[in-house]
Amino acid sequence: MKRFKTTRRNFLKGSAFITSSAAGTGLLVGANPELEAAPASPQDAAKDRKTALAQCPYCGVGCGTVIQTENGKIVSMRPDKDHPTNYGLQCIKGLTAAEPIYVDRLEGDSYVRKDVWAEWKKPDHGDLGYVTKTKGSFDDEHFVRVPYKEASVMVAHKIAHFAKEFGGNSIALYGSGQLTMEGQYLENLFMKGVLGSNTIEANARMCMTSAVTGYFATLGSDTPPLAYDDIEMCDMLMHFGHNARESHPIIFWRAADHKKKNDIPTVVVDPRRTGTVMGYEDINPKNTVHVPILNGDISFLNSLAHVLLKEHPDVIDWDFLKEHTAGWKEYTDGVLRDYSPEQVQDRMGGPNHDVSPELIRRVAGLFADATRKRLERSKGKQSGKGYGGVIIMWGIGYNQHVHGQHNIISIVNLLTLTGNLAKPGCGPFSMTGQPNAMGERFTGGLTGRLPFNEPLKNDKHRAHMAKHWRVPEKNLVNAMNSQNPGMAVGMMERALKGDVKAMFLVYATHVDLPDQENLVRPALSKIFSVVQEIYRHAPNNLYADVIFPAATWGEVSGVYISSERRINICEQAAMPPEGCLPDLDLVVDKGKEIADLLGMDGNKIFPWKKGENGFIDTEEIFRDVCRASAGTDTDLTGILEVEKLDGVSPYEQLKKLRGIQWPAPTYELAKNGGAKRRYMMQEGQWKNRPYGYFRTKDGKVHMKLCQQDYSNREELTKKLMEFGVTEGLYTIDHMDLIKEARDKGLTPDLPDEAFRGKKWDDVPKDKFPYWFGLGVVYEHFHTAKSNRSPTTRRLVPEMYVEMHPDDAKDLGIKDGDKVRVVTRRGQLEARAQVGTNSLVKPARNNVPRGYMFGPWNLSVADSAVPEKNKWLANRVTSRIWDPVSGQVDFKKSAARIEKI
Amino acid sequence: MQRRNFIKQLAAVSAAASLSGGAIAASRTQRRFLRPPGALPETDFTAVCIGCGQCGEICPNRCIRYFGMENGLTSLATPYIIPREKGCILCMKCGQVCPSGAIQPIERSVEALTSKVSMGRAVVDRHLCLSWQGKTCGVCYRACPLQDLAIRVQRLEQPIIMDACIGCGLCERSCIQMPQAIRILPDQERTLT
Amino acid sequence: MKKPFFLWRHLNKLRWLTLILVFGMLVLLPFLHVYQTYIAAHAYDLLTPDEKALYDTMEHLTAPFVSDPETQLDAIKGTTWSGTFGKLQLSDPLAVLGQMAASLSAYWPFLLTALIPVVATLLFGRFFCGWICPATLIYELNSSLSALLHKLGIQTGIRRFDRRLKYLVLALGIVISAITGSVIFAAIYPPAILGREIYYAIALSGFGAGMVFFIITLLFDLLVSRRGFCRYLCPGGALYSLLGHFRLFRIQRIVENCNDCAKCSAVCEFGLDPLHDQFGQECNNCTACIAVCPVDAMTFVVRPSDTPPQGPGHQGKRYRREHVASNEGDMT
Repeated sequence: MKRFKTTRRNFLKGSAFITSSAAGTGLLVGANPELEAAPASPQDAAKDRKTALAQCPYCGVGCGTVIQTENGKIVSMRPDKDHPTNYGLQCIKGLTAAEPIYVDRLEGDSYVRKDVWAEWKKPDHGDLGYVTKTKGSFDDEHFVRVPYKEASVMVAHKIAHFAKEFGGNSIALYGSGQLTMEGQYLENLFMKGVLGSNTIEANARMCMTSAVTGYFATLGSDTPPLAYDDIEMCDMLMHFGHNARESHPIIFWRAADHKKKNDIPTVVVDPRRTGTVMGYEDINPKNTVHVPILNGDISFLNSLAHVLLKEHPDVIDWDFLKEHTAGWKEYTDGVLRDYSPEQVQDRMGGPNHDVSPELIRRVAGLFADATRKRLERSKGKQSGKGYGGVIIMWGIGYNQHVHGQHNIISIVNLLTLTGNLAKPGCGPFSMTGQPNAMGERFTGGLTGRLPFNEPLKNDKHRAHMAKHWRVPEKNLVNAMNSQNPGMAVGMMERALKGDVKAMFLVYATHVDLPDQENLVRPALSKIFSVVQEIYRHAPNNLYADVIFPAATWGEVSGVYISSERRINICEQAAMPPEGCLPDLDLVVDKGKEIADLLGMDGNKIFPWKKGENGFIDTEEIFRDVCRASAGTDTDLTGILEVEKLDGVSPYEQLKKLRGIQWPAPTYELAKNGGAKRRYMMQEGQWKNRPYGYFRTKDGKVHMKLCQQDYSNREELTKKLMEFGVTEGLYTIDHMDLIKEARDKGLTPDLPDEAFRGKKWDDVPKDKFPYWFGLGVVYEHFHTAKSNRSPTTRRLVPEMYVEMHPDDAKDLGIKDGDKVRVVTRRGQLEARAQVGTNSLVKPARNNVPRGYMFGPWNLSVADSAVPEKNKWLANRVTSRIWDPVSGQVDFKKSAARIEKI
Repeated sequence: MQRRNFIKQLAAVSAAASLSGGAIAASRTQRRFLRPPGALPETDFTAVCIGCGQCGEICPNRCIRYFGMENGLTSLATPYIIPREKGCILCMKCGQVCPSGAIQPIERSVEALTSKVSMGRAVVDRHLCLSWQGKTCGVCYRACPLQDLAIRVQRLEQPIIMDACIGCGLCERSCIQMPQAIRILPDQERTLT
Repeated sequence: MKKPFFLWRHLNKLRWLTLILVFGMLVLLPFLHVYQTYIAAHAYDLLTPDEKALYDTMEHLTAPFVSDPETQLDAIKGTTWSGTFGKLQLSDPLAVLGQMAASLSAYWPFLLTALIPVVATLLFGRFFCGWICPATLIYELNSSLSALLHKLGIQTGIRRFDRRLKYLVLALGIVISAITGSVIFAAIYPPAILGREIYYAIALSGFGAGMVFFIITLLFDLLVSRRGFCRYLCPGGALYSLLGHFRLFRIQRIVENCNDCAKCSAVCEFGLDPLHDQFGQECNNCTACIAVCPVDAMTFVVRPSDTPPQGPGHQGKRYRREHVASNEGDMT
C-alpha cells in the first residue's frame, strides 16, 4: 500500500509550500510548472500548445526566449536559438522564468484599505487626503475588495485632489525597468504631461543612472555605443565592478568563448575574487588579471592614463584628442601631475587590497598591447577603419557609488585618450541590470527627463513632446520648474518632510532603496500609496492604500530594450488571472480620469482603444513612440517607413529581425536591424540627423578629470555617517556635503578597522569594524520572482554572508553559524559562509580580509511581514547619493558581526 | 482442557508466524530509493533499524519517508529517501538522533561527508541533459553541496560527476528536465572510498 | 484496622493523567516537527492558510519556552518505542531485544538507552503497560466501551486464553527476527505501531498498514476477549512481566479490611485475581483495584514476592461465618 504518494493534485495545491534547510541547502515541495506541464499522454501533447517570442524577464543582457503555453497557461521557457544575443543559450533564471508566474498571485477585485474606503464612502467623500492608519501589514483583515472601476475612480479623485491642493509635484511615481517600454512611456506622459510632476523615478535609479549621466556628460547622449558583437572583436576586455559570471552570465560566456578562441587578456576589477575571475583564470591564468580595488577606481583609471602617457605614448591617439574631444589638456595634465601609480596607493583600499604600482603598470601594458593590435589592423587602410582594442565593461556595482558618474567619466576618459572609442571592437560598455531599464532611460521616466534622451529644459523638445503627448505644455513647464533633489532618495525624504503626498508604486519594490527603517518605510507610511502588484505577499502591499492586481511579463505585449540598445518584442503568451490588468492599461485608466478631473481631455491624451483581448493595443502606442522620436537622438521613424513601404507591422519587424537597435531613423537602417554602433558616423548619415560625430552640442567628447582625494576623508565621512542615525537630518538639505563627498571620491561609511581581530562579543556596540557589501547571486534576480520559483529558490534558499576564513576565526564564527550583520542604520540576519569550501550555498566567491558580502535578493524571501522579516538587506545601507546620478553605494557599509 | 486450548492457541500463533515468514520474502519495491546518510549497509541496516521514526522527525527537509510492506517485511517502518521527490540536504541530524545505530552519526564537514557517506552516485543521461544538448543549464551543479568535488561543469555548464559524489540527490531533485537527466544510482552496500 | 496510605487510591487518576500526557506528546511532537520544517523553509508568506494556522499555533505554544525553535525543539523527539529528551535517550527494552536478535549483535549505546526502563521495570514491574503505553489508553477506553455495551445488553468478548501464549510470541519473535534479520516486534507491538502511525498521520500523508493491525487488535479486544492482546499476545507485555517478576513495589490486600466484594478482581484489566492475592508477574501496578476498593483493603508494600494467599477477607461473610460463628459457638 503506497502511503506516501502525493498526488499531482496535492502537488498543485501545495505548490506554495517551500521547504528549505536549517543548515543551508534546501529543496522545495512546490510544483514545478514545467514538470507538471508534461502531457499525461502523447495525444494530449498537441493540445493547444502555443509559443510566443519574448525577451527574458530577468537581467539586462536581453536573451531571446520562446515562451511555451499549454491550454492558456505559461508552462515553460526555452532559449531562442535564432536570437543574436544568446544564440540558444540561457542561464537557469531564464530557463525557469515560467515557474513563478502563477505562485502567490493577486487576482480579482482591487484591494482598498478598510478605513480609506470607509472615508471615501462618507458624504462628499470625506477627507480626500485621508491615508490609511493600518500601514505595515498586508493581512486580509485590513482590506476590502472593491471592483476595479470603483477603486480606480476613488484613486483618480484622491490624486486629483492632491494635485489641486499641493501641486503636481506632490505626487510621485516609482516605476520599474521591468515594465514594457510602452508602459514606461505612458507613465512619463501621465506624470509629467498630465500631473505636471517632476517626481517620477524608477528602480533604474538604483541601478545604472551613473552610466546614464556619465554617458550624457561625455558623449552627449545616454547611449552605450557598442553592440554585443563587439565582444568577439575586441583585443582586451576589462570588467569594472562586474561579477559578470553571476549577473550577466550569457555575456560572460561569450567573452569566455572569445578568450578561449583568441586568448585575449582580461582584467577584472573587483574587491572580491569572484567566479568571474576564476572562470577567466581557468581559461588562461597568464593573461587574466584581478585588480582588487576597494573604492579607488577613479584613481586607478587616472593612474592607467598616467602610465600610458608616460610609458606607452604610441597608443595615445593625439589626433583624435585634438580633433574630437574637449577638455583633454586638463585631463592629461592632471593625470600626469597627480596620478602616478605610487601616488594613488593610499586610495586602493589598504593592505587587504594589493594594487601595487607593478600591477597598475602591468594592466597598462596589457591595455597598450591591445590598443596596438587595433592600430596594426588599421595600418595601411583608411585611418579609423579596422577594429579591436579595449572594451571596458562595467556592471551595477560600479555604478553604485557616491561618485558613480565620475566613475563612468573616468572610464570614457581613458578610452578616449587611447582612441578606443567609436570603432568596432572597443568602447565603454555599460551592462544594464534590468531587462528594460534601457526603456526607462529611453522614455525619460526619471526626474528632469523627457523621452528620447532630452531634458525638460530643452525648450524645443519640450514643445515637441507636448504636441506628441497631446498635453498642455504648461504642465511640462510646471514639471520642469518643480524640484526633486536627491531623485529617488530625495523623493522619500520629501515624503518624510511632507512634501510628497502620494505615490504610485508600479512593478518596483521599495526594498531596493537604502536605509529602509529610517527613510523608506517611515516615508511610505505617511503618504497615500497606490500599488500595482502581481504578488499577494509583496512588501509593497504592506504600505499600500490601494492595490491593483497587475499582469506580469508573458501576459502583456510590449517591447523591452536590452543593454545593446536592442528593442526586443515581448509577445503576450497567455492571459493573466481574472481581474489582473496590464500596468499600461492601469496607467491609461488613471490618466484619463485624472486628466478629466484636472480640466483636460482625457480621451484626447489617451485615445487608444482596447484590442481583442480586452487590453490596449500596445503596438499603436509603439507607433506613437516612433512618430514622436522623429528628429531626435533615438529616432525610430525608419520602422514606420518599413511598415509603410513593406507592409510589415512594427512588432512583426521586431519579431523577424529578433530586435532592432535604436536609432533606426531610415528605412535601410530599420530594415537591417537598426544602428549597430554609434558615433563617428558609424550609424551613417541621414536627413535631420540632430548631431555630428558625437551627440554633444559641439560634437566632441567631453573629457573631465575626475578627482579622488582622501586627505580629509575621515572628517567628511563622519558627517556622512550621521544620515539615517540622527533624527530630522535630510541629505537634500546638505547638497554641499554630498557634492564634496562626490568630488573627493569617498565612501558613505568608514569602518573602525582598529577593532578587527577581536572576538565578536569583544567588539563594542558602537563600533563597526568590517566592510559589508550587497550584490547579487547567479541564481536570483531581484527579490520577488526567483524566490517564488522552486528551482532557483532551492538553489540559494537562505540569506548568507561571505566571510574570509581568517576573519571568521578572529570573530569566533564557524561556517554555518547564524550571525547578525549590524550597521549604524539597521541589521540583518544571515548564515555565515566561510570560504569557498563552505557547506552554505553558494560558496563560490572569495572575499578579501576585512570585507563581507551578502546578496540582496533574499531580502523578503523569509517573509515580507516586518516582524518576521530578518533578511531585509537594505536595512543596513546608507542613503548618501551621487549628486548627478542619484545612485547610492550599497557596497561600502561599515558593519559589526554578532553571533546569534 | 487447558492444555488442549493451549495447543489450539499455539497452533494459531504458529500459523500466523509462518504466514509472516512468507511475507518476509515478499516483493521488493520497484522504486529507486536511498537510505539516510550514514546508514549501515543494507542487510545490517534492516536488522538494526527499529523503526522508531526519530530520523524523519528531526529531518528539517522532510525528505525521509517510511516503508510499509512494499519493500518486504524487513524494511517495514525503515526510513528511505526518493531523491526526485526530495534530496537530502546533508544536515546530518538523523545520525545524531538515531538511537539504534542504524544511522551512524557523522560530522557535518566536507572531509567527513566525502569519506564516510555513500548514499549512491549520480549519473548523467547526456541525451536528456539540456547542457549536453547545447542549452546551458547547470542547475544540478549549483544544487550540489559539494561543487567541484562531486560535480564539475564544462564551459557550457555540462555536468560531469566526480569521485566524491555521495549521492545526496539534490541534483536529481533540481533537474529542470522532465524526466530528470541526472539520477542517483543507490549504493545499498555503502561502499566507502 | 490497617489503613493504607491515603494517596494510593488516587494513583489511578494519576495513571490516567500520565497515559493521556504520553499520548498527547505522541500527537504534539509530530506537529512540532512540522512547525520546525516550516521555520526551516524560510518562506512564511508562501504557506497556505492551513499551514500558517499550524505555524502560528505552534509558535504561540512554544514561544514561552524556546527562543530558537528551529534547533531547540530538536531536543524532544520520538515515541515510547524510542525517544530523545535532550541528552537522554530512552528505548523500549523490547526494541533492544528485537535488535539484538535481528542483528545478532549488541550495540552498547543502544543497550544503554534501555537501562533506565529495565531498572524501573525490575523495581515497579510491568508498569509500562499500565502507566505509559499509548495503546493502553486506547485499550482501556475500549474496555470502558465494552462495559457500556454490556450494560446496554450487547454481548462483548469475555473469552479467556492462556496467559503463557505471549511468552511464546516473544520467543517466536526472537527466533524469527534472528532468522530473517528483521526487527519483527516493530510490526506487531502496539505502542511502536501507534507511535509511528500517529507521526505518519500528522507529518506524512496518512495512516498505513500498522493502523489496520492495531484496529484488528481493538476489535479482538472488543469482540473476543477483554484486553486480549495485552493479556495473551503482546510480546512487550511478556518481556516486562518476566522482568517484573521480582518487582519490589507491589500491591497487597489488607485482609483485615477486606469484605470479599470482589470488585478488585472484576475491575482488573489483566484478568488477575487480587481477591485471592493472585497478582503474579503480570500485575502492572495500575492501582485500579486500590481505587475501586470500597473498604480501603488494598495498599502498596515493598516485597520481592507476592503475599501468600491470606484466605477470605476478615470483613467478609465467609470469614465472619468461619470465625465469628465459632466464637459464638464457644460461648454456648
